This record gives sequence, C-alpha cells and structure tokens, in this order.
Amino acid sequence: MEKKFFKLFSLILAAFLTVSLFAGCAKENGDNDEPNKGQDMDTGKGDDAITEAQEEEFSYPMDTNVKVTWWHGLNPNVSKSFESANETEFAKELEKKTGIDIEFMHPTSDEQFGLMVATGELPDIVEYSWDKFYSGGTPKAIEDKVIIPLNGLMEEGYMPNYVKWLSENPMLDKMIKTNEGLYGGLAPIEDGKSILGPLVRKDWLDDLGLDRPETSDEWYEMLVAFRDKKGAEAPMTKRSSRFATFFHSIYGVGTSFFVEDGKVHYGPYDSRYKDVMGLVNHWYKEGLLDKDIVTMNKNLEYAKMTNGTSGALVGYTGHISLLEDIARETDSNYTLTATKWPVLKKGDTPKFGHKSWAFSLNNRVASITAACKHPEIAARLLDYIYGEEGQMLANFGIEGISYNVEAGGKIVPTEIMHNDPDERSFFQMKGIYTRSYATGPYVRHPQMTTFDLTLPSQWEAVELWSDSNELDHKFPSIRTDVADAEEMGNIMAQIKTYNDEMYLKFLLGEESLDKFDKYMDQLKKMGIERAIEIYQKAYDRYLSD
Amino acid sequence: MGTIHTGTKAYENSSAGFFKRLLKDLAANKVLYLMILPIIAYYIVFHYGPIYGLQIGFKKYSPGLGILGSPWVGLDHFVNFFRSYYFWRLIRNTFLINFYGLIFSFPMPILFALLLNELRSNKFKRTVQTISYLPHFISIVVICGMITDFVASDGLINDLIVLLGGERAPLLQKPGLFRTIYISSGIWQGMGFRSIIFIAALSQIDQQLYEAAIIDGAGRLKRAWHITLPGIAPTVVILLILNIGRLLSLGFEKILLLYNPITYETADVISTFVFRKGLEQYDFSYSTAVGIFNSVINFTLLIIANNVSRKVSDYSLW
Repeated sequence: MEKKFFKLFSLILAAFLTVSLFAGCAKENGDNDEPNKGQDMDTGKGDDAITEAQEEEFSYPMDTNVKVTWWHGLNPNVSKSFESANETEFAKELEKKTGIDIEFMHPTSDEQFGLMVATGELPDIVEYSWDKFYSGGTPKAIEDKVIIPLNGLMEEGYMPNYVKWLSENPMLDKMIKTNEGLYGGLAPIEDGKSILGPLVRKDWLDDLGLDRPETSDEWYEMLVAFRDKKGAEAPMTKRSSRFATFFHSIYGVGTSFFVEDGKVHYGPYDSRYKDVMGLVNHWYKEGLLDKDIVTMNKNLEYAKMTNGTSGALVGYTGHISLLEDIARETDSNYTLTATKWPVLKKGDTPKFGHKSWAFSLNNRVASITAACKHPEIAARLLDYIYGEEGQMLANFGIEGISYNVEAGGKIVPTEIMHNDPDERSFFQMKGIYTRSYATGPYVRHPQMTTFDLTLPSQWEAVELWSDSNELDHKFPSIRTDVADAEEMGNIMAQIKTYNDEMYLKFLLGEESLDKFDKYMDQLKKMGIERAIEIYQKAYDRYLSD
Repeated sequence: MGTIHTGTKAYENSSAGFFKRLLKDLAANKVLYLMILPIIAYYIVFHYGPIYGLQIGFKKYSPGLGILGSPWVGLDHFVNFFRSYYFWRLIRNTFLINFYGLIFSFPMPILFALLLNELRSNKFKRTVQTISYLPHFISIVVICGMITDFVASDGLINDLIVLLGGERAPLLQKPGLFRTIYISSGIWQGMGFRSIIFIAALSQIDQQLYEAAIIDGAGRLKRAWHITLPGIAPTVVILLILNIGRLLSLGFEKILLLYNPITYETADVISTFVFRKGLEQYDFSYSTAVGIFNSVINFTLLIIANNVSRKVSDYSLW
C-alpha cells in the first residue's frame, strides 16, 4: 500500500516538474501572440473610416474602430501604480481625444524584443532605439523591413504636426533623418539643458567668506579651505564617470568627439588633454579629490556629502533637495548651491558643460512597424502628441486635474501631484497623468523644468549649468555611413577600454604623465585617426546638406 | 511483480533485440524512467536547444533577419578577436585567475574536510560546518557589496592595515591586488560548501583500516597520509579534472561587480569582455564567436586533463 502511494507520488512529481519546465516558454509564446490578436481585430471598416476622414477637413477625435497596438518598456514610475499603461489616465485621455483604441504592451525583459522581431509578430507601434540597439541602426531596421520609413505618410499629410515641427527645426531634422533622408520614427525632443553640474556647500562658503568659485584657481583655493579649515577628508567627491566634464571644461577639450572650427577632434587625443590630466592628478595627490572615486557608489556619495567628509560634488538637480533633506536632520544650516562649470580665466564662458542636443541617437523613437495594417491611423495617433494639445497632455497631463495654468501663463502642478493621499511620489503621479516621467515620443515643453523642480535653487542650477557654448562644439547626433559603421565600432571598442583605463591611471598617478606621448602613439596605433576621419566625413556631409 | 526473462532469442537480431529489451526495461522500470524525464527535458531545452543559435558566431546577425536569414561571414569575428589589441591580455588574465584559483582554492576544502574529520566533539564539528556553509547562500551581488565596503579606504580591512602600521588605500583600485581579493573572498565564500563532498567521501572509508593502523602504531599524520588521502583520492581527481575543464570559463558576475577600468589590467577576462561587447555594444555575433572559442579551449583542456589522469592515476571521467 505504502509502496503504491510512493509510486503515485513520484509520478505526479515528475509530471509536474516536466510541465513546469515548459511553462516559461509557453508563457512567452502567449505574450507574443497578442500582437496578432490586435491585428486580427483591425480588419473591417478601418479603410473606409480613414478615406472618409481624408476627404473632409480632418479633425480629432477620429471615427474609427481600428485598434492600435503600442509596445514600449514600462517605466518604474508607472509600474508602481499599474500593470500596464492602458490603465493610466494619460492613455484614457489620449484615446478619448484621438478616438483611437490603443492597446499598450510592455516587454518583461530586454531579450523579448529580439524574440519579437525574430518571430515577425510585431505590434503596430514600437518604441525602440534602433541606432543604439539594432546592429546597423535605423537604416538597417528599415532595410530588414522591421519598421517602415515615415516619409510616405508625412508627404501624404497624415503627420502635419511632426512635419511642421521638423521644418521649424532644420538642424534637428538633419539629425533625425538617416543619411538616405528616411525617417525611422517620431523622435523624443528634449530641451537639451544641463541638469548635471558642480554643487558646493553654501553654508561652508559663507563660513569661510568665499564666493562661488568660477575659475580652476578659485576651485583649488576653495577645496584647500574645505580640507584645512573644515576638516573635509575628501573635499570633492563623485563617481569617476561624472568627473570628466568638470576638468575637460577648464581646458576646453571635449570628453569624446567634438568640433572646433569645422574640424572634428577627439578629446583624449589632443595635447590639451595632458593639461587636463595634469590638473586632475595634482588635485588627487593633494587630497582634494575623494580617494574612493573609482569604486564610489550612490550610498557612499550621499553619506560623504552629508556627514562633512566632502563639500563639493558633480551632481544632478535632484541631489540638491535630496541631500539637503538628509543633512538637515542633523544640521539645519546645510545648504547646497550650484556653480557654473569651471573655466581657466575669470569671465570666460565654459566651452563644455554637459548640455545635449535636443535629439539623441540613443533615445527611443516611436516607429511604425512593417506589420502594421493601418499605418495611417498609427501615424495620426502619434502625430497628435506633437500637436499643441497633445504636447500639453504628454507633458503636464489633464488641465484642472494634474496641472493648472496661472494668470500670466505659468503652468503649475495641482495640489495632488505633490501630496498624493496614497503617498506616491511626484514622478509616480506624473506616471499616471503624463508621458513626461521619462523621455518619450513628445516635445518637451519649455516650462517642464520649473514644473518638475520645487526649489528655486534648482531652477538657478539648471540656468547656471546650461550657461556654456557647448552646442558650438558638441558633435551632432548624426550617423556615419553604413559602410563605415562597423569599422568605427571595432576601432572605438578598443579605444574606449584603453581610454577608461588610462584616464584612471593618469588620475591616480599610476602612470606618469611623462608617458603621455606614448599614450598618444598607442591611440594612433589603435586607429583613432581613421575614426576621426570617418566622423569628419559624416560632419562635412551634415554641414553641406 | 513478474520476473524479467532475457532469453537467448533476444540477442539473435541485435537491433530488434535492443528495442525489445528497451521496451521490456521501460515496462519494468516505468517509474524510474518517468522520474528522469524532467532532467532530460531540462538538458534538451536549456543545453542542447541553444546550440542551434551558435551559428550566429559565423554570421552577421541582425534580429530582423533572424538566425537563419542573417548572412554568413565565415571566420571574420574570430579573426577580429584574435587580432584585437587586448586578445593576449584577456587570455592571460582569464588563465591566471583560474590557475591561481585552482592552486589556492582547490586544496582548501580538502584541508578543511581533513581538519574537521580530526575533531572529536561532534557538536563542535557540526557548528563549525554550518557556519562555514553560510556565505555560500548569500547572493553574489550582496557578497560583492560587502567586499567593496570592506576594502574601501575607510573599510574594515584598511582599519586592520592601519592597526598593523600600514597606510590606508582603496584596495580595489590596485591592479596588483585584484586577484588576491577575488580568490581569497572566493575561498571564504565557497570553502565550507565545497568541503561537503569530501566529508561525504571521508565517511565512506572503512573504519577497520583506521583500527588496524592504530594497532600498528600509526599516528594521526600517518593515518591521514596513508588511509584518508588515498581513500578520497578518486573524488579529488574527478573534481580536479572537472575544474580544469572549466579553467577558462569562470563566472563573470563577480568580476563584473568588483572590477573597474583601473584594474582591467589584471581583471578583464574573456567573459567580461564578451559582456561589454555583446550587451553594452549589442554585437551579438562577435560575442558568440568569442564564447565558442572559449568553449573549444575548455573542451580541449578537459580531454587533456582526463587523459593525463587516466595514464597517471587510473582515475578518469571516462
């Protein structure tokens, strides 16, 4: 009897294990079926609806029963409240205004994209960074028939808002379209202002009777005072990756590729880079920079900034409120203030300072896939967000609920955005009403900075940090020739590893700066001049178009 | 239960005979076969299935074209890797970390098991054993977080160094110390757990041998040398062969969590290189090619180690 029971038990166990092994695969298949489901529902009167709409003057909401499937990664700000973007107020409002039924779909992992493309079961709209993740970039994704170029839809007048915006911003237009003149998707447009920059302890400055430092000499003086008079063991801290811009801006050399008088340069392959590294190494040896910069992490950084070990860092606007909140529990005088990026001579405008182009090749564009049965409707849907009304919805949400417009046109968040009864953060609230909790296919509103940030010292920080001539020297977000892309990738992969390593060696003094010429030779051997040549070619074409 | 007949007839026609026997065996031991099914399925799905994808190492893979549709490029990716500036450094680092790991961390669990074996108090033995297992069950991410904190310039290890008259320094920024930190933390984490298999082998040794040795007047060291070590030798050799077979394929998570550009010189290994190339630069074909290269080397090492061992010591995997 007992034996029989044991036999039965092991049978069930074995069966269960086998089934559970395949359960993972089965689930993924299920997910991938969904795009098809969406498309099956598309068939019907969609075509009639669109032709009717075309004949008369077009206006939203559209009269259509086509359902559009839309795939994008679910930001934690949304997933905290909802399982899918379908449930957000933003999605409901967008459906109401456009009259288009939307079904949002979200990947559970990054690998899912490869699987989805490989099986060819694509949703109608995909938000993806082709230039970053897809080997061969946007042109290859179009050639592989994963996505369609938007040029036809744009010419036929399905995307008036986007076309209008591009024509008003010709320089960005050149970056967004491929070298063949194709548009792979609707690009996220940011304001390009710097939200990263130097921060110093205002209360220490006041105690020491110092002004906010502007030049590298003033910075040096201030850090020495922090070290000697305030007992700061590591006067300036931050993670090493963020160090770069700070020192590069002093000598006017880019951290990577940059442009000077129409010529492309590579920052680390430039004689001025030796001065940069000389200064960094000097400060490090004097004990002005944190000894742990290489292995620094977030918690260590916060601790050092709030317990008096450090008095300066390169940080984001968010650090001001965050660090002040932590520190004021023990020190009510603690205040942080932003400074401009440092320069060599007083009165100069910084040449670099972490500003970016409003369009970046790394950002995810909203593309219409080759599997989409009604591209006109998908186009109308996406284009709505680039119109005036859509822009307000994507940036601020719904008027009267998530934002108000004050007399004088100032846009302010409503009470609930900052004081949610369920104690959700401001950005989680934005996740409910807007798309502006992260970059996405919309144009960032000029008032977004003041809408997001609560402290006037943060608004000041953005202005100070953005005061640089960076865009005159920044290499534009442009693509190299398809034929050169792979060669460029191979050259730069090695150079990046070598540079990361040598940057820290020079910084920590593990490698003497006497060997700088050898370092330059090595870069040359690794093919840096060929890389500059490739970028010069791309830049010349960008200017000539 | 009926008895199993294996009549002479069954051997007359060998292939038909095989299936007949198989069917009979299946019928007789159906529960056992069923129980092994999940294991077989696991290997097919997760270990044999992915072999199909290896072909992208010889192709210019593009997700839109799929594995089959991507064009062949022959050995281009391999040639690229061999010509890469960092090729020899990667090989050297991978080999050295594993080689030192083998030398220093392989004997540790054996020594530990031998020492435990000599303990008289069972209670004490159990306690020590349990404590030594514990680090094994902590996630590697947490372990690396702890290591980073311990060796930071104001961390535990530096406090000790200062106490002994040394100077504070962030140890993870010293390329010369990376292997030491990596291997010694590995020993700390894995020694207890890996000693289990040796402790199990020790318990298999015939106690009469010890009694006879004691009567012959053998001391503790002599008994350990002449009875205990030969007794667990097969286990040691098999594990050594398996370890040699993995000489170039160490888990990259721990290195990834501990290294930084300043320690690339000693810490950058093939798998971290593949990680940066494949997942940060999205060059899947190239990293697949390097992975294949890595596996081929491992396979060769495994076969060599096995053959050497068979010749020298009579113990081998096959």
